Amino acid sequence: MIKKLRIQNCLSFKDLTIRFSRLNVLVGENASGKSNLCHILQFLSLSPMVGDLSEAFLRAAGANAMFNHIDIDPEKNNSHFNVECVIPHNGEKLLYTYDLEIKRGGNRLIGTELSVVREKLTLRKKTKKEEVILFENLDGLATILREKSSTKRRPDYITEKIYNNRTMLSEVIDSEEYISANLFKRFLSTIFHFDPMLEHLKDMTFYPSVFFIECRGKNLFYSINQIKNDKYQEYNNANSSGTAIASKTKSNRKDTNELWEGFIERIRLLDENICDIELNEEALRQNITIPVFTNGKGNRYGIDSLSSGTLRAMGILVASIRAEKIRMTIGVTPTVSIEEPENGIHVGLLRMLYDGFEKSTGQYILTTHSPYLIDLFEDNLDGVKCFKKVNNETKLIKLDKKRIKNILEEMPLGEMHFRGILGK
Amino acid sequence: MIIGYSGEGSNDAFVIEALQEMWCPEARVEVAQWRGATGSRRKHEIRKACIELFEKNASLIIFFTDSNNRDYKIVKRNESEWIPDNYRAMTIYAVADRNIECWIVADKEKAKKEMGINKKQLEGDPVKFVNKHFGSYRDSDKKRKIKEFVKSSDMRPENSTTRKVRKAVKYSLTGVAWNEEEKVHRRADSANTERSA
Repeated sequence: MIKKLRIQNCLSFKDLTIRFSRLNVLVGENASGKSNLCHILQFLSLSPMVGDLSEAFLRAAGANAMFNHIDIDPEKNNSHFNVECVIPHNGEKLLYTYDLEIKRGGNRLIGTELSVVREKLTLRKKTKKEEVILFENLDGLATILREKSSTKRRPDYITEKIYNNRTMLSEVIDSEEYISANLFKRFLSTIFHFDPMLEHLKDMTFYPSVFFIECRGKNLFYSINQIKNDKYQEYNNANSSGTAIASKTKSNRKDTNELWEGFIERIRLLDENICDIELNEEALRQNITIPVFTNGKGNRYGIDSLSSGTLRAMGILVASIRAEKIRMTIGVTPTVSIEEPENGIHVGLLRMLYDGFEKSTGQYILTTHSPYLIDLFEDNLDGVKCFKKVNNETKLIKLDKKRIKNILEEMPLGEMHFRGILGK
Repeated sequence: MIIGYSGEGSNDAFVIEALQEMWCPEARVEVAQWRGATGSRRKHEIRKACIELFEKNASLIIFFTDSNNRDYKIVKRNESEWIPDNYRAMTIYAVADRNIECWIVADKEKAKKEMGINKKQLEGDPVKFVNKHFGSYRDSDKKRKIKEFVKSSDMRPENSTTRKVRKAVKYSLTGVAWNEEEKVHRRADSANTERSA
């Protein structure tokens, strides 16, 4: 779980520190920086996976995003990210701190050239006081701790030269020697930003290189099929190894059945006709996902009979189930950010979505404009993050919990947001 | 200084802003949000607007509404009761006899000159003349036009002494009264306007 994130000089953030709870909601006016925060999280997630930093930024925030980078502080070319995470592993709480400083170089055909200036990953076990540097990378020259051959008295660091257009973290391989660094890498890779788009949710092409329902909802029905059939191997396939950590936490068929039943049960709250979903196997062999729905009378129908709201809700439910699946498969609790989950969903069903997030073990960061969704955070004020744009810069407004609790007697939290008195 | 305001229509807000710019140029008008149609749920929204404007550090809260076909005194008595007791001291509940458009054309000489309407036409409902002259709500320039019209009408205090303000306001407001009974009404309302200023 991400505990704290500090962003300096990137997108609309000049210097912002944000502490997260397990369930978070980002609120603020349009263009206040909510989505930018999610894009930065996704960039941090993609940077060790994609390898090339510029490519990772492009995929996370889009080609034009780097121009905002210039807006925020034209004098500075460097962006700085500091992430603090808690990852429970083998009954122990591991506190990681990842520090990454990147530099903006010349323009590419699309986007901007990015390179690593400084990168450092440290680990502190909650039971122990000392902090261990897992690796440090200064402008392409990296020192890495080999854990297996390290002793208490003499840590075994090796030095390596790496290309500075990629992070040291992307070079960490899945082996017993780098097990702690790799665990953090795995955690980062589980962060994903979900901004569902109807045309992608309906897209029937299967994209093997796209993880789960990343990229705004592509591969939705493939993911649903995997929840159903317990063939959740994408992560391991994509990483081609997955031995050191994943082998210790194999998913359980019984748990998977429960997830599927829970999924169908919640989908039926949206559309009571849906009793089963399956993919046309012949089409799947040709990388096409054609979902077939079955109603209570055994009649089968296609995706066009589904309302767009149901489809979006399906995507969001898969996102929450995905978190649970990842925990079961690789033993790391993921962080999922979802863009305006309320869109297209009846207000009365928002509670159902919220309960889904609450029951799931993942960490959630939602962006919203819906007062009804904000209302659901009345008992979790720590999770409400109120953004405001001041002189083109995103500021986090500290909530006065005592004052808010007093006003809650008069009006709900969402209405406070509507009236602009939430983050006064 | 922040003046909190909650009103019923855009014309009302423009007049309040014009008065603020004339009489309290150093102040800022903070407009309360209104959930739903402005004519409905007044009881709930007045209460919530008070909380909102207080939380936004307003020193004074002005509610402004049109009485339309109702007796403005009854409207004022009934609706001002909805103001929570703890906000009453900082709140002015102003009701325009008929509607705000009557106030906009308070300076009938100016109305006659600029809008081309005579006293007889003013005796009817001035809404259609006001909207025709200043444009519909879709006209982005309407706000500026109304504010300029109000500022340059006889409602403007030429020298900012309380006495002269009162005199100017009384003069302009009684100037559009249609009969003796309404004269009394407008004088009563003008006192509210002075206090809000």
